[in-house]
Amino acid sequence: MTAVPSTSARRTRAGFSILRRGGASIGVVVTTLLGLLVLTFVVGRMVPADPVIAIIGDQADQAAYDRVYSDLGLDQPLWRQFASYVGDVVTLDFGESNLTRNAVSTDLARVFPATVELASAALIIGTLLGVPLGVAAAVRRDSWVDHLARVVGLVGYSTPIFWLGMMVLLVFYAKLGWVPSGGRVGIYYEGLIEGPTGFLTLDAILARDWETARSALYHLMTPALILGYANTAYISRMSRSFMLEQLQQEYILTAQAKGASRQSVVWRHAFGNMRVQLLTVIALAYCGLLDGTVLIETVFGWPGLGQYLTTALFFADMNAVLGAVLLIGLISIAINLLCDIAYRMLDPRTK
Amino acid sequence: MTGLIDTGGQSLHDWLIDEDIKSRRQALAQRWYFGLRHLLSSPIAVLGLVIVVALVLAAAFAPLLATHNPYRQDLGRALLAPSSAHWMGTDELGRDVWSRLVYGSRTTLYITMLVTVLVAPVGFLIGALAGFIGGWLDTVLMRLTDIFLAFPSLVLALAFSAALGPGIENAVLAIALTIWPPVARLARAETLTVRNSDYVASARLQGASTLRILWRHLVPVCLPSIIVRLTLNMASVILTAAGLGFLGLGAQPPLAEWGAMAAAGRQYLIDAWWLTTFPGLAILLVSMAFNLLGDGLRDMLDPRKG
Amino acid sequence: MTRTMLLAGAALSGLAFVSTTSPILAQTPPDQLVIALNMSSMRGLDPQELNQFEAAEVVANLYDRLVTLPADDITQVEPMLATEWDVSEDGRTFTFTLREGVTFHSGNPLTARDAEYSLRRLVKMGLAPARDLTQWGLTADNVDQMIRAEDDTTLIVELPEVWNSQLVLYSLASFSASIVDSELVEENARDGDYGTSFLQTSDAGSGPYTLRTWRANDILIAEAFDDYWDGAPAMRRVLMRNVPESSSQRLQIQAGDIDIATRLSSSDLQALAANEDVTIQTTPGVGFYYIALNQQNEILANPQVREAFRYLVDYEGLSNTVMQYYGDVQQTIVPQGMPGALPDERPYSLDPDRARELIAEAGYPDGFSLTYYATPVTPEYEIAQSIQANAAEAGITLNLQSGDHIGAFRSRDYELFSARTGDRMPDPHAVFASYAVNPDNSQEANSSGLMAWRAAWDVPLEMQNLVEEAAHELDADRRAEIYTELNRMYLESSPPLITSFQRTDARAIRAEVQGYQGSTTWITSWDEVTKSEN
Repeated sequence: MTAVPSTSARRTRAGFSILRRGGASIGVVVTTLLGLLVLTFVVGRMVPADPVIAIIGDQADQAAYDRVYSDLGLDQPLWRQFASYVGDVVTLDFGESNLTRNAVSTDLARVFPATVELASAALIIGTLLGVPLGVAAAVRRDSWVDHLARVVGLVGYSTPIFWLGMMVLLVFYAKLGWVPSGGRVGIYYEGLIEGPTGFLTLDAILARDWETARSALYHLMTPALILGYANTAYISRMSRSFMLEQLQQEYILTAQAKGASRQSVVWRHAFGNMRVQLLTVIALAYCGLLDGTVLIETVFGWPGLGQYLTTALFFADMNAVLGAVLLIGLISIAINLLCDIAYRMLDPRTK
Repeated sequence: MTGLIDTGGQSLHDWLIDEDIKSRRQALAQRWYFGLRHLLSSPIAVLGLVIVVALVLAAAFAPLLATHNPYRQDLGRALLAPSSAHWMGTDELGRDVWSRLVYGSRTTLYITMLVTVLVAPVGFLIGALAGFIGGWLDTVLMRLTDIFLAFPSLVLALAFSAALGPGIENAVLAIALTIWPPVARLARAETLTVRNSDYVASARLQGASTLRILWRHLVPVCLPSIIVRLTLNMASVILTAAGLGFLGLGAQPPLAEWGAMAAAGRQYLIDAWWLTTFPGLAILLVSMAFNLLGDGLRDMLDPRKG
Repeated sequence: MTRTMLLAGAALSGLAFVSTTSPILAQTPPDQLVIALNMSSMRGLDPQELNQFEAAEVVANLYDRLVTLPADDITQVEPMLATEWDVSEDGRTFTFTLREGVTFHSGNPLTARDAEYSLRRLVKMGLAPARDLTQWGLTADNVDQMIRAEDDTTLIVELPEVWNSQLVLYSLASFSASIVDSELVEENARDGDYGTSFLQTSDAGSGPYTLRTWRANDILIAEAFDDYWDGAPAMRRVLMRNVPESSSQRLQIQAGDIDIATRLSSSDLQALAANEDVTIQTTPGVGFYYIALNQQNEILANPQVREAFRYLVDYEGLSNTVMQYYGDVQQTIVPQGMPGALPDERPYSLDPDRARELIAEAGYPDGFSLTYYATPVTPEYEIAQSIQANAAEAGITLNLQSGDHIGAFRSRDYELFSARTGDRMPDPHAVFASYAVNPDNSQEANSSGLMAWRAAWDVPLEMQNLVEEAAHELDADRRAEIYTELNRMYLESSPPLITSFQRTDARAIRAEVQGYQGSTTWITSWDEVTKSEN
């Protein structure tokens, strides 16, 4: 809910599009990426905490300090640091995390599937609930469904998601014991399944380890439902307004006049026409989910990208912060880009 | 009242509804008047307005509403459950939660006002300049907004406030950095609609400077939609600020801030549910109010998008 | 539309099914130990590099050392890999005889060469824990001569000066003196890094446990080493899981999902203390909760201002609430139970009015305003906020800034800073060597490893000399005498490193777990742990 609706809503409204002018020129994509790199680099250099201390600990002597300082390249001029940063990023070398002592790229590869798993589950929930709700609300305008959709949307837009997570833990975990407290899987199933996809639930099913699969699903459920609810709010609101727009179109009235059934008008004609818009919204909702996961992963101890980022931020693990922020930025840009392309290819009006 | 506005002898009400509009000022005043009536006719928007007004009043009269000093600690009275002495209980340092909640309204208001004051002019200026001047400036500025827009806003605010260091001013700055792009986008779009209009063209012909055109002709056009945009965004500003506070990057102690209060309660969630529950409800209520008000304002200024 | 809704409903009820029928394990398996902890500061498992409480516990069980200090009697040096040792008459040369037939997890035999390699590695790498040996005069230049294997079972450790031999043995019992598999480490060394990038995430030890999995900030799994020289341990698996939330740890230990909870808030510990299935264990630590007043600041350099801060700590209120399980009130500098300790010496209590008087006498009748750095973790953050509020009453404005400010503290770039220390040597020397030794207070000296230098405190020469003398002194009674004197001197000097509580580390342990004894010297061992049948 935090920023999930606003980020994406404002994008669709303002017609966010990387390819808005001049078509899909490689140059545009490259400058956008370069801007992204400048942004993450600047942010990284501004972090006040000392990355050297994070490596050598609090009691090492100055000689050790100096050695690590120059190992990190911190004694180089800024432009050179940036140049080598860009070079590293291009070769997928984000440096080593002070916190985990692994290459950041290794860490990201490890934590990222957890976030994708959570965000995807939330997106599925949000879509399955949000689209029918929004469509129903538009079709039966001002009925109870419409009011329900409004309330769902309003509460979803206004709830601090981290707080909702804590309240759910308080009631359903602490008081009722219905849901697990956090983590991706019960502790006895830890380390039993590794790969191939990194999505624990899927991996366990592929390995036919039903116990692990069930435990993983059980752990996934709560955070996914909370994020999914936030998504429902957004997707239902957008579906409603798309459907309303369609229903006011000329051709719908014509179809109705020709005696087409209500069912067929709504689903075949109107829904068929809003499919592309809807696809875009769902894709953008995915970007918004990346925001939500940061807080929800912190509350639920979900070992994904969000938790990785907040822990790294707290301990000034610069490489890890930059790597994670860059990854999130790249995904968002990629999603936006794909949306544009899909829009161009699928939307009858742009043909 | 009539003394303040020249209504040409009519009563204020008649002047405001007269269909025979005699001046530009009257047209503008009528537009606002009808909008306001429209806004007040929607019970939902009124509810939002009432809550926002209540927030402002709570902030203004915090010393009267608070039953205790919000900063006064008493470790001997830590983590007390809600009672008649402490309506919402006490926190881990023995401070009264209700009083801190009341004073927290000041923090919330402070954040929202400051963000607005920062973002509205900056967003307008960037958007209007890009739209009005066009060319390479437009390309550069819009490319910049694209990059900012590509980021999920909390992640971006997180990165900025981590870089700037903890503190409420830095949090405000970080949030402002994430919400100016849509405002700029909006200002640009509005500017494009009037850039080639007759009155802007005539102003140009008369040799008005760019700055003067921006101020005289573009500000009135862009202002209403920017206000609506920002009101709608206020909910997300509040939620982002709370999220930053939750992660320890926002307000610093002893300042009462709802997100940080909820976060501090996390440590004591099981025994002291009131520490987390009440600040969270306050955030929910206020961000909901801004959403309702924003929706109402949008309907008022642009009934088409209802 | 209805079809989609049905689908959604089916998906949801599927989820509900999983939730209601999933088994909630009532107890952990009898041969596995599950420890919940906050893993975020666990940054690597190289014994000669790390300097961190939780990682030390892991390393203590993956590796063996020459000698060890049992948790229940930490001043008693006991054999481990060394079956016996001998100190030469001049007190400078230690000769260790190593146990035969010990193998590493890799299968390589453990010999005196490995011990030589490991101790030299510690000194040459020169990282934080190197001080364990370098404080006795060993340097990267002399260590190759001083530490040497005579044959496969004999190791010589020679020191340039005479030191109290007990102190030296304590150092060799530290986790940092763990013996690593020299062959394996060398195989994995990369351009002269002493194999550290390998050891950070792997295990090259001979200890009772082997490292199976470590995912940073997530989980660590160790498995019993069947060929351990002292017999395979009872617990087949030890799982450490990152559970940063105190309340989650509490609920999990109540439910029996975990055996040991390590980072609980005082209120959660209090609640668990009433639970019959759980016992609370507190382990005293060689360290303090302190406030550092930077002496480069003109205001704070005033002794009366320094003393004023001693009146701003709510010793009683804190010890009844947040500090109940985290520490014991301590205003002197020698930890309780150690030679020279003054358990009844508590001259200060919360008194903002007295503090106001003192700062007025110091020339600040209108108070002053300073920036105060603290880490937002319990209980440090609660202490900091409490001090901030009390200071406000005395007319002092402290702008509290939360965050990871240890770097600023190290480089003396702060005004006020508070946190806690943790040393590992069961002797007052460990504390004095850092709190009251600062041979060169200049910025250039950069002795950032010393607490006194970080506070920019020009420690009176007399005190520094006494610290030196006590470390050389061989007679136990005389040492106790010196430490008593030092303890008094420290208190009376109105020090800029103000101690308020001696640190204790509290753990909640399930009643069926036996033999888990938290160690003051950070080497808590798992191989004695058993579980009773219920």
